[in-house]
Amino acid sequence: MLLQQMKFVLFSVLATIVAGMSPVLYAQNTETQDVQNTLRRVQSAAQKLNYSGTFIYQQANQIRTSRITHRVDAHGEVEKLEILDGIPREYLRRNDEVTCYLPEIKTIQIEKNVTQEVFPALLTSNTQSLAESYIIRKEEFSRVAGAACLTLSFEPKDTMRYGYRLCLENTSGLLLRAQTVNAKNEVIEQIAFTQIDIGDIDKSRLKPSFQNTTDWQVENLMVQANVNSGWNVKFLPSGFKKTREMKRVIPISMVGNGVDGQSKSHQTKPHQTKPHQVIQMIFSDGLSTISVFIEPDTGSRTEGGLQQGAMTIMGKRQGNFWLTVVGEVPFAAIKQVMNSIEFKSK
Amino acid sequence: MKTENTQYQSISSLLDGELDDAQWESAFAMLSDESNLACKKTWGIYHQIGDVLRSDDLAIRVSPDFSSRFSALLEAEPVVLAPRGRPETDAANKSVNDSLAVANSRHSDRSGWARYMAMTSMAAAAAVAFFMAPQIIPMLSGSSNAGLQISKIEPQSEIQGQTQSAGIQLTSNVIAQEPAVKLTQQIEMLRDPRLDSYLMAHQKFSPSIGNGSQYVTRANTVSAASSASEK
Repeated sequence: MLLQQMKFVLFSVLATIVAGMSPVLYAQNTETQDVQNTLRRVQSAAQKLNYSGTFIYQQANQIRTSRITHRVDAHGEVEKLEILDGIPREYLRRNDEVTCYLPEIKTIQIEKNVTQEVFPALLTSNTQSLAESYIIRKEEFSRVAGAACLTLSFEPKDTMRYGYRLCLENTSGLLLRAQTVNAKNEVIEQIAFTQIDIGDIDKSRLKPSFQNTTDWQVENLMVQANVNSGWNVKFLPSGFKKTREMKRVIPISMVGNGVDGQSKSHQTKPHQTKPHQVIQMIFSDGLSTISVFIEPDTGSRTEGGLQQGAMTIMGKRQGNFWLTVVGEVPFAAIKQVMNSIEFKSK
Repeated sequence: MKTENTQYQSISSLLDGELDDAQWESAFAMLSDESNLACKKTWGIYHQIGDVLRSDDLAIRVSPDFSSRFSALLEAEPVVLAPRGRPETDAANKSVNDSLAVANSRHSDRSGWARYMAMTSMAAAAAVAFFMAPQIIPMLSGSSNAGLQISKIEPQSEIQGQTQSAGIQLTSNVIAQEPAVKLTQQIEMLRDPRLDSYLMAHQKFSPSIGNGSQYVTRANTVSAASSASEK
């Protein structure tokens, strides 16, 4: 009898604990679910909506303005991206094929099979994995480019990546502003629309600005979209996964030529800025990306690193190869990747 | 305490190259005094502070016999009698010496010394970065907070007042400079115009490209000039 009573007490205690806990668990689950839904909405908004706007990209003390026009038709996405500062450049994307117009050197660069995550389609399709690397919270409402928006904050779980604050347009979920923040919660880089129209975009606005390109040079930058080169990064920072590996062409550096028109002809050709083939591997944790470039060493470069805003780039010689690692991640992450690149025969 | 303070002050000024000739000699006499361990220690700590200011990666504890081992290695190195790039400086020194022979003789000695010190300290930094590379990574992943790393260093110093005030200054400086990089590396890398192509391959509308054009033009003239002088 006593035993039964004790059993009953124990049972009711357990029942109370479980009953007390479940709302908490339930609330947590719905919140994660809610965040996941929002993240998916961000990505589909950027891909499926028609919009046009001007955005700025600020990196440390540098700023660049671009205009984007995005439209969806029966064949998929069409996007025109015009770089408005400095050397004129215009990108026209039709689904996963990008054509870049460089009017100053009368060149068209074509890249096929591009699945690069670029603003405002910043997230990868795999939004689930974001929770492995970041604590994601919904924050207060604010306003960007005249539109009310919801802020999502991404707090990194380690020091191998920066934090982010994303502002999403209230009704559509379109990303209006992305800020990168360091460990001290200071904004070190941001991309933000300054003006945006969501809705009807006329087809004519997506035509390339340069129609008569018959005498332009055409370069194909993509050599092979999917390769298995045998190169490997042994100690990837946690959460990062390889999203692509390809063989591509690093084109002639635009900056050496055409800085100002007069000096173009007799300007010293600084180094061999000839187009050359490299292996590019792209790693992503869903938000931060790291690119690794591998190519034969020409012996003419200086090893080192450079940081601007959130962007870190590092170059190093390894045996007969030259390695370049670029990413919007802290120096420690770039270094860890750089120091663990190895060649494993297939 | 007062004499100690002046001692530390003169070490600090020595590092900054702010001492006049007389002070310079007494500071060196003080530093070469084997019995004055505190001075040597301060000298080391001040260098460490400088290193940390230059890069968070150098916020590491050097093993106790580092200096002696490094000196031994340096001793064992063959002496290069005609380093590259010297002729120019020598010529410059010579013309200076011709005109101001007596007054400046000590000065040129001193610039030689300064150069030597700069070289050794750079070599030391490079050696530290090279040897310690595997240890730096776990340290960085352990704490990204520069302030914390500095406070880790502080306890090993015995001169409380001095380092503490230096520490405060340090922290604020570090915060202000956080995204900046080691200047020397920056200059070297900027000579390579190919960098921008990689940035572009990674990220289409990175602002570095337009910015790069300025740097690269300037860097090109520098590298062109230096390659011309080599010929």
